Amino acid sequence: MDPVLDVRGLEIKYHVREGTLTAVRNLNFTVGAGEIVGIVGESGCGKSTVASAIMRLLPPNGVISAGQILFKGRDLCRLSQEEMRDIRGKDISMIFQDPLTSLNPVFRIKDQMLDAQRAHHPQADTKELLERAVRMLERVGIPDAADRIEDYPHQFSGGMRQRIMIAIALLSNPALLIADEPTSALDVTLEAQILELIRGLRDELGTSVLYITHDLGVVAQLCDRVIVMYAGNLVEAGDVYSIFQSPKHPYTRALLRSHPSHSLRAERLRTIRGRVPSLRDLPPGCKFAPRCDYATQTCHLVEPGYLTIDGQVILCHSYHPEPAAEPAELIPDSHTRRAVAQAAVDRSFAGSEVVVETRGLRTYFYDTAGLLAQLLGRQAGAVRAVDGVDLRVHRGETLALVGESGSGKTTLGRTILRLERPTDGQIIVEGQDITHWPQSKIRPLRARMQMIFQDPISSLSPRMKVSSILLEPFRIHHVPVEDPERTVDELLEMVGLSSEQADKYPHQLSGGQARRVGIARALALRPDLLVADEPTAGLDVSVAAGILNLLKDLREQLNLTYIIITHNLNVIGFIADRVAVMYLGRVVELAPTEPLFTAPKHPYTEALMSAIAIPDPSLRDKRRRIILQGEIPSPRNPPAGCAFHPRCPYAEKRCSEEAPLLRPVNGGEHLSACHFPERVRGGAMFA
Amino acid sequence: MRRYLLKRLVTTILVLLLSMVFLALLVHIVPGDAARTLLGPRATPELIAKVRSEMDLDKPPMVQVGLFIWKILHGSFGTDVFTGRPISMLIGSALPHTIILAFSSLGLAVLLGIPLGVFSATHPDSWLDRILALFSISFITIPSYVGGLFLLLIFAVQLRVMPAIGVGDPSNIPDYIKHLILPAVALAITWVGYLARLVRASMLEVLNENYIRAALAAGIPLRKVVYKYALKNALIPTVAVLGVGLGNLMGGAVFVEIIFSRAGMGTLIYNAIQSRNYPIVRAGVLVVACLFIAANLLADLAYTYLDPRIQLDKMQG
Repeated sequence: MDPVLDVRGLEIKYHVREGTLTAVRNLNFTVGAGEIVGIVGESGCGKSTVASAIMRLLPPNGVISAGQILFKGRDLCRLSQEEMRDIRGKDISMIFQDPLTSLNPVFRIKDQMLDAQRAHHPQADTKELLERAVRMLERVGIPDAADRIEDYPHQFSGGMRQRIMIAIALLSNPALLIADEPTSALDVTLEAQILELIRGLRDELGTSVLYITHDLGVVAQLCDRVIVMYAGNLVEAGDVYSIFQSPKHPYTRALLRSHPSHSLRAERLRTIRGRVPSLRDLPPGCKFAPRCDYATQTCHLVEPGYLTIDGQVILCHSYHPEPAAEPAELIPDSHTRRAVAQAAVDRSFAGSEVVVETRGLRTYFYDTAGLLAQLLGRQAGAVRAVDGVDLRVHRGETLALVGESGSGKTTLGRTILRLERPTDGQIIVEGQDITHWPQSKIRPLRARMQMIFQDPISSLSPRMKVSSILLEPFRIHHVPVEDPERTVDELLEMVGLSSEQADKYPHQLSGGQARRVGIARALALRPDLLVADEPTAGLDVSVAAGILNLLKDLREQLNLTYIIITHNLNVIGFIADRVAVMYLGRVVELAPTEPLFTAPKHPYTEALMSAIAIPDPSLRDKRRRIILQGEIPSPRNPPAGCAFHPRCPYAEKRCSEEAPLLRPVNGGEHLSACHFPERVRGGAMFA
Repeated sequence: MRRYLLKRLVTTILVLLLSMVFLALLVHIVPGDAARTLLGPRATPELIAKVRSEMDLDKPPMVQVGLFIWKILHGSFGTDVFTGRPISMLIGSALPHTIILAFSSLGLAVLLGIPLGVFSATHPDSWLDRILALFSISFITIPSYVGGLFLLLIFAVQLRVMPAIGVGDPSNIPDYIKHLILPAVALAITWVGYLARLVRASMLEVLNENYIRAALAAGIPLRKVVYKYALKNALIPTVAVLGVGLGNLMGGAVFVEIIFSRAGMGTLIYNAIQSRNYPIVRAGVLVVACLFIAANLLADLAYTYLDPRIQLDKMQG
């Protein structure tokens, strides 16, 4: 049977001021009927450009300079704008990365769904179109679809909006659905829901799917075939099982190795040395050669051609079977050896000094009620961001705060540093109760308790050079610096950056570099405690692995205590000693990392783990997956009893009446706030 | 919505009360006896005393304020000393001309400015966009009294195609419109340029939004995406500016009315100020203040129509 989509020799160029950049080069692939094909690669590899090119929606400076895009045998590149318009949304639909901004905020869902249909059936009867829209919303899981279609986008949550986007995309039953990172902005439990939905719709409607993502886990869980892209080239393509079980291209191998889910007990994550080359100065030969461990003279000078090995296509000069042992140079530097030597060190902190303790900590945010509202006696509503948290962090320990958006993990981290005002409870730092200290007294303490903020680029002032950013903490805390230049160099070296970066501005840095500068700034005054908010969010796998290694090295070198805030369980298995899982402002499970991963005792932890997309397609069918229904409720009005009970698969009547306390399970350090911890069978992640 | 209107009403009443107190005390802020200045040097003491008592100037200031408000609440602005006609009648005959002028120039500005802005945004950096930018910025810098004078000189004096002065005959619609054209254009010029720039900027921003890409990917025709999906979003910041702008137009209308000798509120207040006719100044300013408040309320209501995310109940009234 002919493929639905057949891309042949596709080349895409961007005209920029300096000249012409080639974003995609000689790309060949097909998508068969009812097939899910994944395009995976790091940022800048050209994967989203391919998606825009198929839709013929490239930005004005982008052109398809060679090749064909055959859709059911018609070359899309040769169609007129009007012919192409009629294909968009009817034969080929697309869903985008950010569901929050992909629906027009000022029109009702109804109008947007009607317009999408009228674009292809201008004469159709409104009532019929409306019925079809409601049916489609029901199909993608919007409750009360007939009523809710009258609502505006802002009245839906992020997960619901992505479902609506999918409903709009599938309205006309297209032959091909292009999904461009549709779950990257969503929490894991929602991601699992959306992936299941897409797969279910494919099975039911026979839609072919081209799924674009940076997440190897998602590809492994969803796709039938995989295309790996690097610097505008297809570097490897093949069946999902073969790609994940025996990757043939050095880049694919390196990418898979750097995924943190392989490394619960690993001492160090594998990274890929160097960084993705800029389109402005691509190497002349194989684009991956400068980072490849097998590169020869030829690789650096001559562009490779395609080889087919065991049904997998790779772009490489010569195929090397996976060596039995890793070559020594893959272990990058001396830190590793030291870390490996320390592997035997027992990381247990139960007896050591407590650096930070919280007792019944609460942080509520109140709505601002107007004067008149107050006069009319209206009570201000409260968002219970942190709702009674007891935690202890010991010196040298790494505690991870894990939860989905809205769980209160970031607010908790900020409250511990007194960046938010606690509503109730106590914060005790090194034995002193700092809960009500005035800011003037907190300030000297801040020098020793630093925060690494979430967004690496926007947390650096755009008008300051890296060197002044790094010297700022000294200025703020009136610490004299004898030799500013040397201090900056030392800090940069500590985080693995060269001293050339000192004269750059934040926008000239890559995401990983900016993140490293943020870490260096936090380390400038040699703090004891570092609160890191989503340290790897928004970074490519290989870059994120480098950051996690760095955090681990710094911990050993400087005896740092970490509180790491993240939604990504993959990250913490590698670095955390203990994990606190948060749900609606409370800690629901607190345990040392390994028991938490192998035998979780709270149904929410179990669900979170089973929702993680693991880069191993063989687990697809074996793994028992719990897909939570619904979404995290509003912290304005949390459910009575156990806050998790409406979504819990094990809940009973008692759960809706009595809130469970955080108490030891099996004795010892493993705490769970559940009435029925024995029902959790867990351990799904590393099964 | 009802909550919002209630809140809005309370603040409106407060603002009006404050402005009435201020207006009532206005006579005492300016040096000199109000009745004497009004009547001129040759007025007899008896006449002055009579006018003083008519204007309640013989009573303590607090009582004056109270009486002023009291009379207005009963629908009376008092009687004009010179003509003997009720001031409300004077305002009643001037007000429509001003409102019609303000709204027609607002309409002109919207009808010209928005399409120009949309065109520029959909053809960014084309030569037409550049020319439009040049014109828009020049228009913004032309104050209505300069524009008005030039229009008067060119079209009424040189070319003699337009009437130069007056409001025309209200019962003869074509004649009335003919008299309206030059002043309305003079008043609108600045706003055409301003709106064109404003709409261009916010359109460019909106056209980069994900939902525009999503709409195009759904196969919705480009024209519809631009004029329906993008424009409604781009108008939101524009409406905020228009609310304040309408008040600004009222101010500009004063100059234009004087230049074209239109019998509107501007001319009425201007003449009253020249002759220190306080009762008319007070009443006129109060009416203009009411118009201003109404214009802002209209803009806020237009807001909720355009942007469903704005919940008026949560806004400070």
